[in-house]
Amino acid sequence: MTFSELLTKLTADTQGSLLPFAPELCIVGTILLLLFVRLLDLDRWLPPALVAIAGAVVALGLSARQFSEFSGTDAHVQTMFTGLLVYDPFTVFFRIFLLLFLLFVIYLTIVTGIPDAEDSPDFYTLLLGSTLGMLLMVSANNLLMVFLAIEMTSLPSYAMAGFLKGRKTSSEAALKYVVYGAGTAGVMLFGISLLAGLLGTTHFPQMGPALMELARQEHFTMASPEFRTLAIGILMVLVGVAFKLSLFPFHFWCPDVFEGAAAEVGGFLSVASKGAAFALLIRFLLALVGGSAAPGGGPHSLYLQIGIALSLIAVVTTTFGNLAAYFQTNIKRLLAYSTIAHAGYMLMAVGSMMVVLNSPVGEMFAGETRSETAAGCVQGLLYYLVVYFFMNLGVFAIVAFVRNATFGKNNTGEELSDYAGLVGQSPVLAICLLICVFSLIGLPPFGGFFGKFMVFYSVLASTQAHWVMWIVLVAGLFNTVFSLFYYLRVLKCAFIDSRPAEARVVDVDMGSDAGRYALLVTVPVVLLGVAVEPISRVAREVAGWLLNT
Amino acid sequence: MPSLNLLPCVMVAVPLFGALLVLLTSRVGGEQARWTALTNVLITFALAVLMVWNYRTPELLPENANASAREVTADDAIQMKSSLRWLNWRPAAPAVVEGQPQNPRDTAVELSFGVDGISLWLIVLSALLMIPAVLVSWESIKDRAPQFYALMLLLEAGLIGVFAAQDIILFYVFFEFTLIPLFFMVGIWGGSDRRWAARKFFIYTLAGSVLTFLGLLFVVLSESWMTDSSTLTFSIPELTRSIQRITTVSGPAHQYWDHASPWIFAALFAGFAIKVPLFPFHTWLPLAHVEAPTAGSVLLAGVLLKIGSYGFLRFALPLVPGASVAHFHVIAILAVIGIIYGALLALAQEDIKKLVAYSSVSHMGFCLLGLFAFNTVGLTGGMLQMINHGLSTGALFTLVGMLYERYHTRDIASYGGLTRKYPIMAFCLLVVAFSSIGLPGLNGFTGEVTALLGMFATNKLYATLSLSGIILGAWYTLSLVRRTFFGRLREPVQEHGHGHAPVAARHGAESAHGGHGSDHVALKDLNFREMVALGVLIVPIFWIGLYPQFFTSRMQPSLQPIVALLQSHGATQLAEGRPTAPATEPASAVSQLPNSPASPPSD
Repeated sequence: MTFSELLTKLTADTQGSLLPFAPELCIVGTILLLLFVRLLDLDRWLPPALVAIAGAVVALGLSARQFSEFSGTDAHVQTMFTGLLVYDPFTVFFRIFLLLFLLFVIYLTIVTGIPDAEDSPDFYTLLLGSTLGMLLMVSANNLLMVFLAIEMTSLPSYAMAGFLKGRKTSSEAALKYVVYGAGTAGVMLFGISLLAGLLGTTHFPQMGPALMELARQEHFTMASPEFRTLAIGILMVLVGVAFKLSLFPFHFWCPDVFEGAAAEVGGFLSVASKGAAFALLIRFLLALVGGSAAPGGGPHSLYLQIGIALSLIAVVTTTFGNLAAYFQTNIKRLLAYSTIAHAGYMLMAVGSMMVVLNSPVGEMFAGETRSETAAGCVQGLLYYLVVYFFMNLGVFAIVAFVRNATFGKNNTGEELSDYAGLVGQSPVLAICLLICVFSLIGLPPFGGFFGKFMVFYSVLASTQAHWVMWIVLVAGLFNTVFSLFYYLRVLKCAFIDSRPAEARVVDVDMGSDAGRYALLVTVPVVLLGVAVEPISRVAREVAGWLLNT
Repeated sequence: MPSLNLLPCVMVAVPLFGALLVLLTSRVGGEQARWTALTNVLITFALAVLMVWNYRTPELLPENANASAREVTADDAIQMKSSLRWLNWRPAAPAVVEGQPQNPRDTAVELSFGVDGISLWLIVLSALLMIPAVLVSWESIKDRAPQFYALMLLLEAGLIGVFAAQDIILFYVFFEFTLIPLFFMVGIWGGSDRRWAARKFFIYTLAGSVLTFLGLLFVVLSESWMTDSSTLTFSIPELTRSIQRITTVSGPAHQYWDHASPWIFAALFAGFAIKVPLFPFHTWLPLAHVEAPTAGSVLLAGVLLKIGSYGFLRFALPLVPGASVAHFHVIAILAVIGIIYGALLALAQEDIKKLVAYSSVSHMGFCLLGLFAFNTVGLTGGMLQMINHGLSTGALFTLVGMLYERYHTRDIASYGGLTRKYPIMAFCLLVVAFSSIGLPGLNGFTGEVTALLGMFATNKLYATLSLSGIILGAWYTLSLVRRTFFGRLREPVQEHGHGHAPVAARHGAESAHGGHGSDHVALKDLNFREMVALGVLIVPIFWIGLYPQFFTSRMQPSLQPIVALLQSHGATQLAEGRPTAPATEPASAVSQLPNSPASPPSD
């Protein structure tokens, strides 16, 4: 290949990539615009929030259009930028998820007034930058891209965590986040280099075949150095993802960051960065397995072990999150542990996907193939994420509203006691809190029930592949009960306790912006429980496309 | 009358709509709310009457009916059926396996409602008990009344939904949903220890029901595995029928089901036994009953406990008959312990509500004893006992509520000779007490006698032991009546906070929840509203007592297939006094089959 050939090829590839990449480009453009607004002092005329919203809306519209283009065509997978990124329905689903969430968060920040006018260009730049990183995470198709995207997501998040300037806890949160993030990023990078060295490639589609090739060699046993390097490499990459997901041994940053950062930021981190990290995790694991499922043997027993290990980590994470939350009196800390627990539930779906894909059993329940059952697992995860989007954002929004109303000199407005008798003060917030919390518990008829239902169903389906999944299933179900203790405590505070006379009034009614916002976020939680089919069908289709079924 | 197919669905929708209406008009005040609630409750009850009227009683099959005849009736068993696709969870994808086009995969959870002889009466009971529940709250709930009535209507929708649901997921949705309104009813409007009572109740019940959910889910999966079908069935009647068919036809399926049954039974047991509540799982009940507001107690005791026994009847017995028969002794012993222990505890109580609460534990034991007699008489008795207990305990709690409204104490010792002052109330209490004891001519008699007759046929020891429960029941109930309404007139001190009994003082402190002071109920006999509240309960008490045929004839066709199934799984051996060991391997069902696992496998 001559140089000019290469150049033409690259130009053609780049030109072909720009159109599928349009939503990200739009976000990039918005970030630049925000910086210019800041630079030229235009932010008094042109509110940065509006710029950010406009950018997000356009990007969302582009993504929605892309999504609609997928139905009806057969070719679903296309790579961008010489294979660094992948463009498929899974990517676009998560683009819509993230961009819609971005919109909701921006709207929330407008309603709550954090950040103030002075800081808002910086804040929205960071917010959009972080989202951009997440958009890259969900479409990453190369180990290098994985690292870059995670870092691109993390760096603005560190700054956002410390955005409440002058508050000690906020700076502490940011510092802890940075130290932890930097540590795990280093470990992850090391893992990536191990995998790259072992396989000779960092490109996802080539990793699966390369691993099969490696496994076919005669000396590839448990004791061989290759095997160990492989296992350690995979593990190290998973550490980086586990940090983003706040899974059990890597969760320590989470309560501190959530307590220190503003509730808006907490909501953003808890949903968006989790969603992106799960998308990334699924892509990475599927790259290892090599796309479609193959019969047992070779590295598949290793993958099966990874699947089981992930499921067990999920159990530990969920149990830990639920038990630790019980002792919290600060609502944001409590929610941080609840977030950890929910990451555990969702990880159960990923773990069972991995177990199912690599199971020695050929046929699953209801005569499904492995890929179909695995698609069911991914479907469950996607539905859970969609519900989680609304219910968790709802809770964090209410936390922000109550903080705004009760914030005082020696009161952060974020203690559980600030919620005492909320129903008498602001029925709309209390009812929305009720619905979101019941949905977080997983009670019908709210969306959370169906999310959990689908996740537990996929765990149940994976019990055919390995008996350990029974333990995971029972532990998951019992965790629902453990979680009751602290969720009910929140509701007890809001509904049953009476408000102390000296407490400040929370006067958010249905007509105010805050009340409307709470309703806007809560109504989907109910709808997702009443009309399950539309979203679950989309989730199923996306999962089916991802797993080629 | 096909146009009434939507009736069960409408009966769920009407209270839901009512709850919304009550909330929306809450600005107008409590007066408006309670009238809206009452109208709504009455409409729902009218619909329930219409449902009974529209219910065609299927013909009872002769004892030796062949299997195909049974299946025809089984198809017909669910009436007024309506369904709507809710969650199409594995979308249809026409699959071709080995050149053969398969049925498209279409696994759907449906919003499917319907009634049979079992659920019909429980729906009517739920609708009926709402009337006194609203009427007793009329004056006593002052604080946030609209919310209270809205929650109550939500609860009604949930209860009717539980009994009308014909889809497993839908059933579970309603099953859990009933917890939410009750949690708040107990937690906000309850007595002094209401916070802990509400949480304990919630946590206890949910802990059991997640296991039940696992069991139900496993049943669905196993069915599709055993029948080798590519779809999952969530419909309860279809599932029951399909599992019955496959386990009798196919040897491997039979063997598999034999292994799975005990686990499934255990999972179902966890949730339903807590709801009933069976003996060691009853500790949430007295607390929740005592702390709940009157309406909450009425509904909790009257209908919510029935969900547990209904669950046994609807799921445990027909789905895992083998395991049910095998666990006969476990359930029966727990039920007998519950009957006697509950009665003894009731005897020792000084708090009226606690007494009634413990008597519930005792009475629900009879109910389960009847269901686990595994014969038509026993099952009918158990069913009837569910209704009876709902009526008589509901009425008792209503009366206790009325008394509490007047004096703000539930301490038995502080009352005496009230007959002189309240002749009508005394009359009502006597009727209800006699009904609860089981005086012939009233409903308690027919229920307990049929349940025990059934048990006598199956196991004489348990039946005899539980007879002592009836005697103890008469003892504690009559001594309650004697101590409060007969003898020298003794009234508690009426000012609040000066109650001479410790209990009175404790409850007097909870003044915010009673509506005291100026709007103190005048110390007069029952007014018209209260008479209506009790009247709607006393009429069926007499009706069931005098003409139970009206009720049992509508139940029995639905119970009969369950009995036939249980008999074929070894329930008859239990009755003949043989050791139960063969019951785990249902020989009678198996021996008729050519390739049953009982014959030694060739490989």
